[in-house]
Amino acid sequence: MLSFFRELKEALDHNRPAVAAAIVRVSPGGYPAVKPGGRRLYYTNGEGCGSLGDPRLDALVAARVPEVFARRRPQLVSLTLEDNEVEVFLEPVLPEPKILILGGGHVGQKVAALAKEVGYRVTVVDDRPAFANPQLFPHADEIICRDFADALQNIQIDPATYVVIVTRGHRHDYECLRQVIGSPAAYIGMIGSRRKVQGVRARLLADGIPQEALDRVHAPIGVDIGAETPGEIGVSILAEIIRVYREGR
Amino acid sequence: MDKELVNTIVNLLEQGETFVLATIVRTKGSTPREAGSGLVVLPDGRMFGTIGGGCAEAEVRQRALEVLQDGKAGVVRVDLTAEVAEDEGMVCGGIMDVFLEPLGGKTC
Repeated sequence: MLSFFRELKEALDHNRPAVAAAIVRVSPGGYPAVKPGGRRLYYTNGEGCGSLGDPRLDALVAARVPEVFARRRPQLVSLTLEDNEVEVFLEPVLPEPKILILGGGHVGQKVAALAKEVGYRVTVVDDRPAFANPQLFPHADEIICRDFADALQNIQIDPATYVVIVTRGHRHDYECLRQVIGSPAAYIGMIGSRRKVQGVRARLLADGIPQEALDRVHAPIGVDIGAETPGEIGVSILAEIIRVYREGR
Repeated sequence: MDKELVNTIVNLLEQGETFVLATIVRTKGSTPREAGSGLVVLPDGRMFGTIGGGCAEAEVRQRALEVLQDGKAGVVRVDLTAEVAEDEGMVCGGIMDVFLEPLGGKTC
């Protein structure tokens, strides 16, 4: 069992998306190898560690993994293995969100503060030293003062990354979006009015970016709560990120 | 299961400790914590993590100590709907199924 929990710790430490499975009940007279406490960790890329005691059971559970991960909620499932009923508890291992804020203006500052309050990791990028500095972002985990394109080339965006595009202007927003749109980020949101968003979308389509990729972008950014001030907009952005993290939508 | 509890479990297993891991696997109605919450109970009664505190946790702790004796993993139901629960101040009103599993020592 130590190897299972070590693997689970590794998955949590390195933000590897996975589903942990544990047998909690087996109908009497089942297989000796299939017993409560049997565990297996399923990575969402198809790899895994450990066994529930029978390769057929491992496969039955594997078929449920994508749904559990997509719904982001633990689930108790009943499975039948040759007339024996086996109850398995499936728990998604959600990577801790890393918020990547592109733009250190008023909205970026509010998003950074709120994201830290919620307990997420925060990285801020701005090309202006007056904005990319610890006075404005006292709690950010990382502040990068560099040209956006340069900075993005050196930041690893993975399925635990939530990208918030809130730069000072259309041109930078467009450049940032263009650079992150092909990444495996969990979330990409871009600020702007419907009109501006339409313009950026049209330009990217013309650049050959597929429609499906553009459909993934949350723009206008945030949950629609009629937010006006930077603080309110920050709350609406964080709410959207929490929804994607917890409910996958 | 949160990172902190998983770290605790790994440390306890590495030290060769025997303990019970209690995990909420199903809830119905209002319960203080959701499925996936875990609690570690050591033979001396010490606990790490929480499944919501109060009488329900005290009951699970008692059952966990019994599991340490007989070594059998299984699911117990904690009912917070009964009248007695209200008398004791457990007013959430739900039911939770908790999986109790002995870990460490010889089972590892």
